[in-house]
Amino acid sequence: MTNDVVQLRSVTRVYGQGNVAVNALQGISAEINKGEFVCVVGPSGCGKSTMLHLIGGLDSPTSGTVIVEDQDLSTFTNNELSDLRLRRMGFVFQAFNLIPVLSACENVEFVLQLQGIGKNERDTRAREVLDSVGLADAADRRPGELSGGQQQRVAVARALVGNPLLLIADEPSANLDSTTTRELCELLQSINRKHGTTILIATHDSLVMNYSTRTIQLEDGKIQQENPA
Amino acid sequence: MLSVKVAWRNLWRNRRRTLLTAGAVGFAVLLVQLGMSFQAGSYEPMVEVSTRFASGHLQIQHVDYKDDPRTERFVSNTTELRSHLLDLPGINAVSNRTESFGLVNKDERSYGALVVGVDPQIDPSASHFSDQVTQGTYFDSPNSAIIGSALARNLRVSVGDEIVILSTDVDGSVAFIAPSVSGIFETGNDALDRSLVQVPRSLINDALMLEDSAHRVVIMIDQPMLPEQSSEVITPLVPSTASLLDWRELMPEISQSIRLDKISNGIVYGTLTVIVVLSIANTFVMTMFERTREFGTLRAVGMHNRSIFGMFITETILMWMLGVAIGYLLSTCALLPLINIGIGMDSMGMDQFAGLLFLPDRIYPAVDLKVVLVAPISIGVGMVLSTMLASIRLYRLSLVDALRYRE
Amino acid sequence: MNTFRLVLNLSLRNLWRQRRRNSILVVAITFAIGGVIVLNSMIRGMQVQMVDSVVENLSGHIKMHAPNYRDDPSMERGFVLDPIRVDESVEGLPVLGWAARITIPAVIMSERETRGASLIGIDPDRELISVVSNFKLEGEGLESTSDSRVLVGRSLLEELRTKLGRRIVLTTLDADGISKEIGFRIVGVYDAESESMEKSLVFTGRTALQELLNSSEVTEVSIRLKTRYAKQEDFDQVRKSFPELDVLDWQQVNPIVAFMYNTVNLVIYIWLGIVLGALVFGLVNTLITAVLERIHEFGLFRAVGMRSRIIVAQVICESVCLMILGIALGVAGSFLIYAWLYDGIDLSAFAEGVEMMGMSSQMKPAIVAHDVLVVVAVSITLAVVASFYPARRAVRMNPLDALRH
Repeated sequence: MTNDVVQLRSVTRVYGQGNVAVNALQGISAEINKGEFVCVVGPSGCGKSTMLHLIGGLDSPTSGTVIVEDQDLSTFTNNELSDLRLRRMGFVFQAFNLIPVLSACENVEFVLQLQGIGKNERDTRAREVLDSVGLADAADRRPGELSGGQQQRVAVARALVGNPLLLIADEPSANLDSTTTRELCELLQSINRKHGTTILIATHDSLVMNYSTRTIQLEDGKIQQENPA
Repeated sequence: MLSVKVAWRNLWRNRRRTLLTAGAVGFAVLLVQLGMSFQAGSYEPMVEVSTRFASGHLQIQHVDYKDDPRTERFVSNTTELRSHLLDLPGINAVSNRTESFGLVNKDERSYGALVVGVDPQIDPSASHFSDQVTQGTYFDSPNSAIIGSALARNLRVSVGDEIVILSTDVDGSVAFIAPSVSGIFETGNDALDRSLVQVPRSLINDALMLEDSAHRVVIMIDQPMLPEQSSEVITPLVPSTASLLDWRELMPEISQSIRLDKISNGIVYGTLTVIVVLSIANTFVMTMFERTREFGTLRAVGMHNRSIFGMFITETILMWMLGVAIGYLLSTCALLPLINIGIGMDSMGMDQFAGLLFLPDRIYPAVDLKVVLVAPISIGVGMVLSTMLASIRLYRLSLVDALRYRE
Repeated sequence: MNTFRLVLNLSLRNLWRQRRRNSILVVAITFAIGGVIVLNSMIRGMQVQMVDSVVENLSGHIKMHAPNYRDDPSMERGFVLDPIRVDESVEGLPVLGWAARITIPAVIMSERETRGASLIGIDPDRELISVVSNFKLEGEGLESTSDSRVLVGRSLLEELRTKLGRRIVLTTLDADGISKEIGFRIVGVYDAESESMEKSLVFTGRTALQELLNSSEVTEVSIRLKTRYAKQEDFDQVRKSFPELDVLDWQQVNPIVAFMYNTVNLVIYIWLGIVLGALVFGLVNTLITAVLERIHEFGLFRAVGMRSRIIVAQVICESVCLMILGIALGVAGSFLIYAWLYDGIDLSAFAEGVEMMGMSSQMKPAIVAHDVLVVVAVSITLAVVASFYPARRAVRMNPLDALRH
């Protein structure tokens, strides 16, 4: 048992074939330890998102190994990957990706329901988490009635409610202004410190990087530099 | 369940599209239901009217009589046979009839006609003739006759006149009877009114030396649309030289037109269903395109493919239920007022043919399980298949592409 | 013209962009249009058959009787035939020919059996206009109008249990209404397509029959035209020439068949309405989606100065293009099915049922150009009408909102 939550071992990812092949990742190796707040940074198209997708089991590498909690993801079936994401990971997307027909509280509850948790506990936990992200008042509104910053906080709440080991966020601040970005980052930092949740963020926003404990810089699918904060 | 809730809300996310799709389902359900209920409702009365003017529901006759009717091809001891038949379950009337082709004479005039000998006390339970007498009465003595209106006009016969009917007896010798006309009937069917004479069976049987025999033992049953059930019960009583025929064999034109009608309507309903299902499939494909990213998100938060498909199917089923409800509502509104009063043949301009084609005066829609279920089930199956077809693409798409769709 | 090409170009490209879902809709339209045309061709085929067989089976296009004959078909209700007057009455009409006949009920007795039938006195030379000339015969045909032998149907011969060459006795009423028994020799036995005809019609020479019944009259004249349908003017012309007679068209002579004929006319339009009604839902749905997902694009067009009329035109054009493609495929498909069914559908399993409706047991489809045009015109109109609402959605949008969307 290592202390690593994620290990990448010479991972490559090639999209397409022949002349149009794009080498999104060209043999990267990295570890992410428990309790870290890691930012993956670099210009767009450098492979940040690909790296996150591979770690989240949404995509599989062309070669190399992705290990999450000492388990090789290539041995997982689709449904096992789903369960891994459901119980051990939380996702936050650039475009929030909330379910538009559900209220904020129901969006958060949704994950718990997939986990098979009873109604009363679901409701209590969802409201607790929303409270912790500062949205107790907005629990019963639908995504369309919330501002961008609020939506993203609902998305964070949804990602956190299952008590994940790892929270993955892909450009979470891209659609937010600097004030809300700062609020979001403080929220993530407090979660990281309070619960020890490992956080992995892809971003090119220096504001976000300031909150990290370590940054991994990608360029053209290769790791250029790792900077401990 | 949350997923039903999500599915339900998803439907209302695009209210117009949902209503149009459900409307298409409702439209098809309504049309098929109306069509089928009137069809189903017309068959039995049509059979009932035609059997009461002619064949009855079932007949026992000599094995060769149907193909080549001859006087000597009869069934004997019919009074006894009748009482045995009446003891059987599901049988409500039995009437023995003797038939012979005869030359009907009045003074110098003569016309050919079918002479049918009936038991005046019994036959009205199996036929409509007693109700069709428009002048005089239905048999007033053992030596009387009722005669078709056109034949009466052509023979210049009126009620009370004596007519002479010449025929051949079982041995082939000439036989004659001379009844007096007690009544003139008018059925509206030209063939019957022009060439049918009814006399008491005792009268013609004496003349033809047929004793207690008959050419047709006409049986009326409780369930005319299911004659095979009664056939099973009756068969043991059928004499060895006779056979049992049901109305479908006796009046092939009626059962064939019913079958032809069912087939051609089936094709029409089938095409309608295919068109509706195709336009629904088209809508589903559009919906699925729009929901690509939602699909990706659901997978990313850890939902299984199976559960997501379950949600799509739930949406489809809800939409189907909505459509079927609309269809049922409309067809109930349309049928409810008609179920008791029916549609008169006159309103369809068909009254003038009612007699010619043995049509009933009114048609009442008949709603049975088949009428209620056929359209909804076939459309439902089509919708579920469409959902599958439309969602195949999502399962083929990589999750990364799904999440990035149109970003 | 340039605008039109721009609109057409944009529409076609947009349709192609969504070819997958549009192809499903095109299949639905194909099915609908093909289904309607195939069904129409069946119905038209049925009607043609009804008319042809009725006209052939002794009705002709126009028939004349003495008044009251139809209620009391007997020799007493005859009229004197004036061939010159008949010829004059049909002058200028596309006449194939006419025949005078005597048709009266008779009782037929063989050595063993008695049956009722119609005895028909004909001029064999003139019956080229009717089914009589097509009979498959065993033995000989009637030689002339003065031939006093009879042609009997196969089924009737069997029921009478007699044979070719034997004598039968017919009892009928003569010109004075007096019953008469006449012996005839069976000169030929005919097979007809319809069993009921075989059972009910017995033919002999007309002038021979007149002599036997002390009459110089006939009971009917039947006129057959070269065209399939008699025009009302043709009919009126004949009727004017014979004001003292009942002049009837085939519909009056065969009310049941005429009723069926006219009913199925209605079926064609009901069916067209149902099918297109079912299509409207899918069409409107597709168009609305196509509009809403491009609302941004439309906003952009508006922002760069495109007139809303052109946007409306674009939506209508897309709808009509989809419909035209579906129509083309549907018409092509229905012609293939038509070619495949050209030899007819075998309905002999329903022989008695279809005979009741005046059809033959081989049902041949017939495509009528007019019907196809109606279907095409109505569906294109529908495509235009169905696109109104979606098109209004497309232009009602404020360009700024659309751009922000």
